[in-house]
Amino acid sequence: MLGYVIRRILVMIPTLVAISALVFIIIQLPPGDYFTTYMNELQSRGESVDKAKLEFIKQQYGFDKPMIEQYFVWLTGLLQGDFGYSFEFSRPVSEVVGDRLSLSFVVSFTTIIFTWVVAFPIGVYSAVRQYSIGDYTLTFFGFLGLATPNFLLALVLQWVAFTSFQTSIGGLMDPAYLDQGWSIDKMLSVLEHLWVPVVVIGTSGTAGMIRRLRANLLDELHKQYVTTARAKGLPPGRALIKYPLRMALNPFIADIGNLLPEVISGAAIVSIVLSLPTTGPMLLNALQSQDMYLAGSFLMFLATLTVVGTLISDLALGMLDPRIRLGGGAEK
Amino acid sequence: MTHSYPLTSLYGDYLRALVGLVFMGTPFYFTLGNLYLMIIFGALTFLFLFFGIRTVIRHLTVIETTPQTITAIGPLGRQIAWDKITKVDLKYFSTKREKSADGWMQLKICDVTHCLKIESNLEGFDQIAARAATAAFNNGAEINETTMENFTAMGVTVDLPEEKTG
Repeated sequence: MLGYVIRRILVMIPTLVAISALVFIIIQLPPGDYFTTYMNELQSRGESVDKAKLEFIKQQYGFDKPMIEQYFVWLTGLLQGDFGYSFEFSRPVSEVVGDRLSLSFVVSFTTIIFTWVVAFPIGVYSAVRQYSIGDYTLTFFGFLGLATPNFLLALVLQWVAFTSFQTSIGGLMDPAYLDQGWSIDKMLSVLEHLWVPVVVIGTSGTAGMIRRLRANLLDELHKQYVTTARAKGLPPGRALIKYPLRMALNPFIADIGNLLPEVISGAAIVSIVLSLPTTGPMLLNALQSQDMYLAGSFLMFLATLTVVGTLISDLALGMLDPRIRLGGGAEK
Repeated sequence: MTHSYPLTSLYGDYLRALVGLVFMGTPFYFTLGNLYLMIIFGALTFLFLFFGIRTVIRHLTVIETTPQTITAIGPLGRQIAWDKITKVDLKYFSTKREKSADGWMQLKICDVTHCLKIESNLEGFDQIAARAATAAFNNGAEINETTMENFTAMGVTVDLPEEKTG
């Protein structure tokens, strides 16, 4: 296993270097830079701009240097834990991201738990009781969840939360708690607001997962080894859990690779509609305003999480399903 | 009969250990002020160092088989008698998702107290695997389904008693 892990980690190095180069090129592609955009904004509002000062700032941040040099400075900084400086927030990127990261994590982690807790039993039930009324009903709701746009559901649930529970519109807490430190009341307020984004973001994921689990489990349940196990008198519960369910879980495990970045990135569109102070809208703003270090470092962080998540899912998958399909002899 | 890991088959692992140490050790040195990155790169550097040491140990190890025993001679050497084998595990690893033949195998032979791991780049690996399979079958040792499939894929057939159900 050590040899496998070593090889996988080594493959990650060129992957991440290539991603970093792509990310840097893409965020540099639009003409101009953050300061040019900022200068144009000021000029459009009729405000005066000290061009000499602007040039000085550009020089200070190395904007006058060739792109390749800027890239290596940024990359070296990343490796040393220096994610750069956010021009828009006038703070280091690590501080800007750090503030929103915890709330993004709370929302996304709760959503993942919600998705799994809801999807797992329903998926198993739908497969075991195929074509029953329960299966048809749950499948109907599953398709409904898949077909409903998240932002629309977000608006509807906000209205329901406001009219039925007097929950304030938007955000992850009551506006009164925004500038306060953490307290029991503030946490209760977060919990009061949390269910809306969790249900909205989780619905489509839940529906998709139900469909996949149902399809995979049905495939396994129709295989001969299950029939043989039943014929030999294995109790139905054991005949379900021992192998078919284990095999049907593979897509869940393979999903871990996508799960890690999802936990951090947050659903951007839903976050904007619900005014959530998560990282999704922040990334969008950074890309729009060409806040290159904030956008670049955050994208790089997401890419790293994706690559690490893929490694974790591969390792977990290897442990869960070590079935081998080898054509020839062992390679030297 | 003695078997060893040919140097040419270990070049790749030496290179991997070296590349890993350079690519993880260098950032580790420069992140000494940042606790989180220091832990991450430190752990990775240690992992590659461990892998390098393991490769050196494999390089120095000779596997000797007799009709009675299999012995690893070298650092961390140990001996297992064929008739004392309690468990045999044959795993296949591949970095390709489709699990093609582009991979390597690892044979783990255990008695009550020790385990011996052999990788498929060892000279005569197929013969040792076949001998281990036969010994495991004769001893009624523990062999899982994956190991059975791997033996079959190698051309080694092992007829085990039918598994009990219920």
